[in-house]
Amino acid sequence: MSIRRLATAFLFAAGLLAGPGLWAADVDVQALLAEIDRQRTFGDQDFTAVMTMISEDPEDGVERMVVQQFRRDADDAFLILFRDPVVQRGQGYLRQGDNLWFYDPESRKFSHTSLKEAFQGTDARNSDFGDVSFAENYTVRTVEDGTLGKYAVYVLDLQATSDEVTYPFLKAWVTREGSLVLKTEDYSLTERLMRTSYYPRYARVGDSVVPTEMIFVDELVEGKKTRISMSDLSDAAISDSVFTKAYVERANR
Amino acid sequence: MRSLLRIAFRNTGRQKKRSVLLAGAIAFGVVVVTILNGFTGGVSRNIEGALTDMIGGHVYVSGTELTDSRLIINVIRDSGGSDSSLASAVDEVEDDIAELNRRSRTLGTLIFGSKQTNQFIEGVDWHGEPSFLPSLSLIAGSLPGEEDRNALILPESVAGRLRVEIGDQVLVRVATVTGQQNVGELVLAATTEDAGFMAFSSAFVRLDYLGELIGTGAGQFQLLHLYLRDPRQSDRVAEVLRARLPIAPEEQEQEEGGPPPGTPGAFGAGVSRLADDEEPWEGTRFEITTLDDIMAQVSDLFRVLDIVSLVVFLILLTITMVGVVNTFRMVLLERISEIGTMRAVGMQRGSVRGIFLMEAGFIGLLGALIGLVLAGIVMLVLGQFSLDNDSPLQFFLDDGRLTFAVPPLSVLTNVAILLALSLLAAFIPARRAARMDPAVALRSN
Repeated sequence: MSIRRLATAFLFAAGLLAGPGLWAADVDVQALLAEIDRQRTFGDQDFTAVMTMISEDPEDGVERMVVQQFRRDADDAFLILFRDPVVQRGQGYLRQGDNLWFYDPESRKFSHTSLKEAFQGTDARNSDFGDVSFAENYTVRTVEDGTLGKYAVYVLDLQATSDEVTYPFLKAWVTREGSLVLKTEDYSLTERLMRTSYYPRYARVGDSVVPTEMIFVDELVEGKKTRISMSDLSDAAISDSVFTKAYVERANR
Repeated sequence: MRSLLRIAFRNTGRQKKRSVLLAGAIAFGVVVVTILNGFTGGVSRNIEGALTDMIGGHVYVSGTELTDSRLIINVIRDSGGSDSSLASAVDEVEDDIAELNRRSRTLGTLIFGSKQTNQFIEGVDWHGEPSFLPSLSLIAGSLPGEEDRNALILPESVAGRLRVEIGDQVLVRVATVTGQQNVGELVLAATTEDAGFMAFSSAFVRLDYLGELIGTGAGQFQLLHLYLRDPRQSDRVAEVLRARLPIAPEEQEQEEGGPPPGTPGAFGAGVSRLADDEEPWEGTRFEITTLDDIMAQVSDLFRVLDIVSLVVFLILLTITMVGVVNTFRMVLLERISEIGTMRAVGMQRGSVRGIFLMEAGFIGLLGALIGLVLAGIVMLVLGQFSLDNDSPLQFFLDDGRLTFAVPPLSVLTNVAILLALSLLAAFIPARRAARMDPAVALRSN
């Protein structure tokens, strides 16, 4: 047997042995991604919450923002209205399908922005406040069993299905029981870790489960992170008029 | 005619003080308008030069492609081979081109430790652009070699903001042409003098490395910059390229609230999607821009300044011409007997009128001459002052100095206006002198 054949046989055998370690045998990954999506989105029900964001920046110090979120996933719509600080009161983000506008009450103008942009310079992205489908946007490269703190989790290594997804690679720690995402790591196209997100607390709202606390850590800028906590959660129906530009213009006037 | 000229010239010198005062008043107007014309001409030329250096060239070619999912991405995949449409179009104007450069440009975030700054980043084929590296004014470090794949050249002020030193590793966060997040690692090779106009101070990296980061791929680029041997040919060169290349249609007015083309859409920074009702296209669609297109707004501003200076000139001249009218009315009264004598010995009315008008013309020309010489001296003196390199006015200066460029046509126009107004001012006294009855004139003596 030539050295090349021997090496090939060795690599094949090593692959067989390593395989089960990289792919947890008892999990249907597509079903798992679909379940994560189902829990994170609100389907036909509306969702309202107040979010308090505290961002820490080594250069700019600590900033606190309070916003009211209105969400209607069935129409791919959301509205985020600023309550605090006072200088930002009246500003808002309105999403209608593929369009996302930012409203500035000073200029009384709507400007187009992107779901991929950072939210107000924090470590959260605009897309973090809408429904983003894991199953549609990512395929699973590997699944491993693991633990995160006291929780038994699946560690999913995901790759974007198209070159339009903000983070081309993503790792997610998902509880084996309940399929809750406890932690994600977002990677760049060069597979460099850009952001780690933690979701330590959840609350049930209707049929969905919402993270009531989110921590986004910027892995590129030392010491930069954002903590978001949610309160006043509600699945009460929201008037259609809320998801309109006219409502944003009238709000907080 | 010669004798009339001689008489007029002699008359101009008869009351030297009065003539010099009149010419001085006219000269003041000429000084003001000439300096203003020279200032706008000089600043306009300096801005054009600064833009040529900063943007790089006189004619710019950009390209857009449509992805399968109808995203409009900014890239030229044209390899430059002889079979490509861009290469054959450029061949048509080969004789006009002094230098041709491939560039890519993006807005990214440079990160060093806990510091970050948003920065325009330009990908340059620095060993394929013979004039690029020598044109940089280095403050620290050294020019990168062929093997320095991750080299970064930063304006000094940006390096200062990041507190980064030569040899330090800097992270760069950019979005790809389809809006994905990407991160690269750069090593600071050199810092350069600021361009003086902060918005245009670019950081420079290797073209192929930036291509990898923004997802255009190695060998691809976003902009083709053409330096012309004669910049005045830029419109013609642009027309030839437009005729040879598939061109993007003129941008249409967007509905209120709709995303303008090429601005960030919901899909990512700098990425927009073609609307459902818009016609898709195959391959690369080009857009040709000239420096004149970019300069158009600046030129409009200077045109307004030129008009304002002309109006000021006319107001000053009108005031001066009131003095000219009064002076010639006095001249008429002083020379009644002389006019009577000239008419009595056979001088025609037209000749009498001509002498007056020629005298006014001489004073006007004298004023113009004095004004132009004084303006020249003032411009020469102002041009000697050198401003600090950090001054935000650097963009309008040439190597820190204010320069003046007086267009000959505007000098000729101003002198023509001046002469016309001088003749107009002297016309009524001249006509009265010409119509004077010789007998009455002699009697009045």
